[in-house]
Amino acid sequence: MKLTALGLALLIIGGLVAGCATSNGSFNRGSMWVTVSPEMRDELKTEEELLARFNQYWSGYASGDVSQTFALEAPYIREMVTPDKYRLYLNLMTRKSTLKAVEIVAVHRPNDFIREVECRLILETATGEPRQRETRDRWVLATGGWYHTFTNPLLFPELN
Amino acid sequence: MRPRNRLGKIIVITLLLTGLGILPAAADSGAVVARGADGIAVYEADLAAMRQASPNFQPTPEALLKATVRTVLFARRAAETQIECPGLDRVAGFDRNIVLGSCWERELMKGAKLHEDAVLSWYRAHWRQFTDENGELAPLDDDLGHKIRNRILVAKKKTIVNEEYGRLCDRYQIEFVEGR
Repeated sequence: MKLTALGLALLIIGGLVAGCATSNGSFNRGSMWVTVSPEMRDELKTEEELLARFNQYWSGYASGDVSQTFALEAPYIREMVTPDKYRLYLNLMTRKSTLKAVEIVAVHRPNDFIREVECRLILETATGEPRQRETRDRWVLATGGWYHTFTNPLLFPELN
Repeated sequence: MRPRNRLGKIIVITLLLTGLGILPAAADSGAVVARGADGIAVYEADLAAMRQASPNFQPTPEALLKATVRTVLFARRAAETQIECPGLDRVAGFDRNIVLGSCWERELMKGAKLHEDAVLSWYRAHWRQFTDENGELAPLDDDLGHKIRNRILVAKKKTIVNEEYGRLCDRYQIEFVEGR
């Protein structure tokens, strides 16, 4: 399958989560889309694996699937942060609004093993109001592939 | 007053030995707060000793109980496995448990396993910390790897200790006395 078709499939994907709350605490938050700005499409042809994990991560984030996002966090994060504390963190980050879409605006490459994905989070509050938030999402390459990283000096000072 | 009869002498000697701490007083240990297999028992006196060992630490009753039982269990494992425990000959009473328990914790951390990419992912995620003013990235050698590993383990210690505590509670079938 050529990248163009695969890329399109990866880049415009609905993160549908069916069903009611499950025993692991995930629940249906509706569909979530990852899109790429036209300027980025050619540039991202070499980042297939990163994009696949990026989509998987943000789909999990949107649907509240903690196990899915945790599995994609960098190994050092998974060693240093307990799943319970991570779950609290994710719930805190997602409680006020629903993630509807993520638009990739740019990808910065400071070196061979770091990618900073500049993206726009398209959100909707509980009352249906649209919101947007710009963020720079960091990914690190290790033996097992691309992993998500984050910092939060207040909740996780040990990660700095 | 000097006792004249034999019984009196025995009573005086007993009181003397008790006062010196050589013989335990009748209710010295207090009630049992937790018990387990192989004669494991944790007493109210142990809770008091644990509290006294960390005067600046103000735990809840539940946290104190857990910490005390954990200390007793870790000390048991350290003694059973006969690991090297410096300083043990300088302490007595419950302090021996505290020292042995610390030795067992040290042993746990020495043997702790990390995900194969934990060190590498930390090193790469924090690459700026290891880059000098000329933009040269310091290599991930054994020394740096060891430092990063220790840093990760410090954060993971609580999880490791709690998991071991859970394992030993199962192993020794620890029961907490009602109302504790």
